[in-house]
Amino acid sequence: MSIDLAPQTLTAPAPRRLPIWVIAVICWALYVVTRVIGQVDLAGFDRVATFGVIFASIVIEALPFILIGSLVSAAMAVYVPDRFFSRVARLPRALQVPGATLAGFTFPVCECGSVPIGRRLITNGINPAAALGFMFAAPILNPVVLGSTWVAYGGGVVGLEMVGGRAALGFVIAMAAGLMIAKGGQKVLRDRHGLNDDGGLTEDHGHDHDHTDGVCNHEPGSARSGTRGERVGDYLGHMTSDLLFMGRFLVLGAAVSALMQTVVPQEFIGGIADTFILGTITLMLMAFMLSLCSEADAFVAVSFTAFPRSSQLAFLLFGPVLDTKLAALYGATFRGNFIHRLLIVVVPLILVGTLIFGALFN
Amino acid sequence: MGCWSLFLLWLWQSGSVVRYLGPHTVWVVSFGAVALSIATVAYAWTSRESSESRIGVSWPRAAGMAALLLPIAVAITMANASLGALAASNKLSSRGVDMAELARTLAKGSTEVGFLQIRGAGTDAALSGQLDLGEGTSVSLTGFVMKGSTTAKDHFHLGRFYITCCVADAVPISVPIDPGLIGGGPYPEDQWLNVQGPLVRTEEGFTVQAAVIDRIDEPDDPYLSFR
Repeated sequence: MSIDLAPQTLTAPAPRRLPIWVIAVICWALYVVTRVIGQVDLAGFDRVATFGVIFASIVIEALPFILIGSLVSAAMAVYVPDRFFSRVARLPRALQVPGATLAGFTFPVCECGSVPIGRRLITNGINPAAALGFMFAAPILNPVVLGSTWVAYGGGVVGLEMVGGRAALGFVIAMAAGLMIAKGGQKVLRDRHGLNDDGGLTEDHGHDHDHTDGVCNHEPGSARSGTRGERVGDYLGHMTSDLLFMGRFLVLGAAVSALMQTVVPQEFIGGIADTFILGTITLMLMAFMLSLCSEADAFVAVSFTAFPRSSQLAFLLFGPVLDTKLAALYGATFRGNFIHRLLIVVVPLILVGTLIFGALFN
Repeated sequence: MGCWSLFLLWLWQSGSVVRYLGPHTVWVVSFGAVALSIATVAYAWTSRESSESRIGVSWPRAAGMAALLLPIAVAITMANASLGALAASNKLSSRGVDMAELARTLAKGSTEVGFLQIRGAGTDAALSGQLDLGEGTSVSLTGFVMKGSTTAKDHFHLGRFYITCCVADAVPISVPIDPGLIGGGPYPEDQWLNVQGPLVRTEEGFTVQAAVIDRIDEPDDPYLSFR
């Protein structure tokens, strides 16, 4: 009796397919319906209008940033040689983590764009703590964000204090969160395809574009070999897959944020501004709820004039690390307890850090 | 991707982008429109031979795509919607915002006169001197009627939202209006008005003593920006 030892193609049951023409008809029907509804006067539907405007605006602003992240992420997957990542991956963790976190200073993209890049760094073999450190740091430390913080606080000494506090605490928090979440080298990425993580087809297999048939026929890393045309095709495949994948979770997060801004009663917040811990936690909650772009959040933070600057700083530190749209993106990208572990690390650090900041500068 | 590139192109070319984004981030729409259009065409070209494009799309993937189309549907449906008095009262009541303090901070260095500057100068003598704003200075303001802290009978607040990146970070800034002898009220919330008249100093800061109040349509660009 002979045993077939040939490598088997990993196959999952093919999902049922929706013909392209049906999709086209649905799109057309959707367009007609929206145009008809668009003729209806929205006066008297204030909440619906408020929700719709905020929801659409968050997605319109964030989607191009996810596109930038996907473009960079796909370039890393296809065009950056394997040996570069293996070289970086061989560096000691003590060097990788602060180095990657510091790299956040140079990458002018807000939080939505940094998630696909952080994910890609991990799949390419970079230490997860370093990749997470970069992912958390970039939206806080990049020069555009620090510049807008300085402008929002009117420049001068106050502006410098806020920028300094944001940069220093942001760096510490990003590095600590990366180190603690990826402690002991544990896996942090969720399996995107729902296939077995043990020896199977996972995020870490080198390329992760859409395996619609549940079939993966490529060798890991094969994207970096092949003709120029194949590489362009692979690049576009990676980019599209990342964009569509992250995009739908962005939509979910934006909807939750818009809903919160529209319907959740927020009157309780004003009365607790004087209590440091409660006030700070409240502003962190606001940061979570509002889901602002880190390049704009300082202009909103400065409007919380009833709160001390230390609490405003907590708002500026927490929002870029975790908000409703990021929670949706993290939930789709990382394993189950990622957000819990992030909260456990970040909240106490922000409280202590802003307490010290308040003692020094308030 | 095709739908999104068309939608972004439309936002960019029609100028409707100002209903969603501030001056800091308008560029993302033009960038997104161009980059997505190129990517869509290139993706369609490179995948034209794949079996996937001929057979169709799996149900889960189609559901994901539908979710991505939702914001486009919402934006088209509510093409004329903008934040109004409800959003302003939400933001003001919730944040413990001292608008005068905020305006004082952000109006520094301004040369133009608007809601932000009048509100800031009302409680900041230096800013008032810098902007040459004082009792009797004539101003013209275009905004919508919103709730305010004023308790004076018949007075109302006229304001605009100031946005930086997108509508989600909008901050409402308003100025009290005294319709005085003109009357002409009531002025319902969300009604857009052009008010002209001299400034009068009150406990709240400056109030505009209306000499002319015109009911107008909402402007194409309903939002202002801090800088």
